[in-house]
Amino acid sequence: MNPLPGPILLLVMPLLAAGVTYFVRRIALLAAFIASATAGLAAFLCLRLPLDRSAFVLGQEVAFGRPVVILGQTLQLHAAGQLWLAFIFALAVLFYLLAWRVSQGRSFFPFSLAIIALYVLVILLESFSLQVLVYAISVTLAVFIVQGGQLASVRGAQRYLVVSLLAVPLLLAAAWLVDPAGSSLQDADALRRVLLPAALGFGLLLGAFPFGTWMPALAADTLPIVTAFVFTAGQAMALYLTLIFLQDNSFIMSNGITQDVIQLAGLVMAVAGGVMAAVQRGFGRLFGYAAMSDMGVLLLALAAAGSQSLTLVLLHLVSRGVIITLVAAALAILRHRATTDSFDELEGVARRLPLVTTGLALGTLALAGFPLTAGFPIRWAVYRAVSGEQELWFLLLLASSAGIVIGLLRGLNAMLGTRLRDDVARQPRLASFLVVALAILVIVLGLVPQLFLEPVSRAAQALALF
Amino acid sequence: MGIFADTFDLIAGLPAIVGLILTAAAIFLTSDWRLSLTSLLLQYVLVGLTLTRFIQAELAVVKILVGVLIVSMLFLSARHVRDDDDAQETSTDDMQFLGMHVGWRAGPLGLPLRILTLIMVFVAAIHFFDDYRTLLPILDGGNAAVPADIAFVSMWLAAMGLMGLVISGDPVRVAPAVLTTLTAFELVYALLEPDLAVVGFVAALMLMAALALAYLITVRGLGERRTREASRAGVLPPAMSMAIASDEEGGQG
Repeated sequence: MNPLPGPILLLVMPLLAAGVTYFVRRIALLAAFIASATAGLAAFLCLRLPLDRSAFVLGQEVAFGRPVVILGQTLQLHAAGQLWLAFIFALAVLFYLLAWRVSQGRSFFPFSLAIIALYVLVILLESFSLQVLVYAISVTLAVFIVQGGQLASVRGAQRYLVVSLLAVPLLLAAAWLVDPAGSSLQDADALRRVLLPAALGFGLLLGAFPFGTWMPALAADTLPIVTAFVFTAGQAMALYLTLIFLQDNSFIMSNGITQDVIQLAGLVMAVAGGVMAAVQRGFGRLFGYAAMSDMGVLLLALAAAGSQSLTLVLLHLVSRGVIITLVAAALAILRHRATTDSFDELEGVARRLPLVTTGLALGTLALAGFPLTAGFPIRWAVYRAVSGEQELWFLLLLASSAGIVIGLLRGLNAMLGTRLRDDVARQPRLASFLVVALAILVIVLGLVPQLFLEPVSRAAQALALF
Repeated sequence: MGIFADTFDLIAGLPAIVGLILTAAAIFLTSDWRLSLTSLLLQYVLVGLTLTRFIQAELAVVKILVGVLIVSMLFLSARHVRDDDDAQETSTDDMQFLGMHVGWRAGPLGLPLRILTLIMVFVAAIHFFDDYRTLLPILDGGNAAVPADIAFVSMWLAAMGLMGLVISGDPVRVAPAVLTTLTAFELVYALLEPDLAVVGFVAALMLMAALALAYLITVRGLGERRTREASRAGVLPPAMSMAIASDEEGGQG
């Protein structure tokens, strides 16, 4: 019997689960179980199965690294993609468990699984142009869970869609220009022609300044776990495309202008996000701006941290995933119980929801890079790298962190009021347990940042930009 | 047969280019969704016609069919939610010309300001055309990979689409604007990329984008309807009315 090719397995599993969860979407327990079991199994397979030989899974021989040709396209799993998928599937498990207890809309399970199947396809495809197109298709599908039938506002979903769609032409143009079959890069002018669409395209895709306004809008309008899905898995895929493009075209990253542009975009994004976070009047928008600021730090890590930059970026991506999931989980329970996240209407809620309040505070502090949290080690490394060149930048980044903390303190000040809130139901046990578990993980990652260093180093080696 | 082919070649040349320029302008100027979507449909047909000069006729027909499907989706959504609005608007709104609100306060930008913007974009397009052409790829022989007329019309479509995005946050206006921008790119990219897989995925993306935009049009329309009903009943939720108002005012960030 022929071994089962890994690409087929990875594509079929989430697609099949998407179909099944669609039919059982009204039974949250069953849908969540199927979705999280599928994602968990896929994450396990990605972490454990070797690419260079076959292995047996439940009596079935699986050749994980074997390429498959479908409709003329070769689909193959590479080392970096394998770890990337493990990360995304692992995050999905957390989202599905949370969505079981705090509803994120019935379409969340089937649509997010279909989106993950498209992410798998992005990683398996070899042509960058096709990768970009499939990613954009995944964004169009994400609109349905981002909006989730809510009638109040379409701003977040619409901005996310439009920004992602506008990135497609730019990235396809950049891909065509660097394609040796299509044209030749013989002089500085030709190089500049590639840099312009590539910088704009990836800037749009990653939500870099000034294209990141969809992030706070999305966080304010959308259900928190869905927001976390977009901020973590979605943006991780956008980053994957960026890194793949840079890996294939190493001359771009070795150009000084590129590094300067990324650094400046990261700095402005981090500072703007931090400053705006300080003046928000609701936890949703505060979350959006804090996540935007954090993405800026990630860009800074990519350009400013020298030979270790890729490892730092990937470590930051992992800790960002955990932190954002924590904030989203706490925010989801808060909105579910208090029916709002506006500071004005949260007086006294902390007494009714102490664990949720703690989780929200810890997560937001971690997004600000507060010491002893998962956000601190990477931020500190980036701050140190930046301070070597520009002291002003260091101060600006500190101000950005302070902005997020100020925004949080304003929210906490409202929540810690003395008013009795009998109208707010007590916190749900299981969901609160998940919040506590995530909070512990955030602290552990702050104390032992090298926890995920081994797989991250393997991924960095596979991507090897420098 | 020969006369038919000659006529077809003639239409696919300058008339199609002029038609594309006019349809993009109409999409930008009008606040009537029917006129806007009709212009979008015409735009897809003209793009298909223009592309027959460079690619296989079968592929051009596929592109036209995709356009027809896109416009159908948007039309069904817009009609579903906009009929009520139109009935209300006609009783209260100011003067219209070909579905375009002539008053200064019509929409985020009234017709006079839109015409002014259009003229400025046209002047800018002519001024920066040479710079824009230097950004486009050049073949090994030194010839431009994209003919001048296609380069100009793609620049015009992209500029009109982007301006439309900047000045409106309403999905009914945003959808034709963003699709015009994507069409601008498709016009150039079809000349450069012959890979059928890429062509297929681009078509799939266009259809999915239209589906997502149609969904947003529906949701937005239903939200407006609920707000209207709530305000009539005197129980308007303030958060909802504020959100919908800010959607209308703000362009794309």
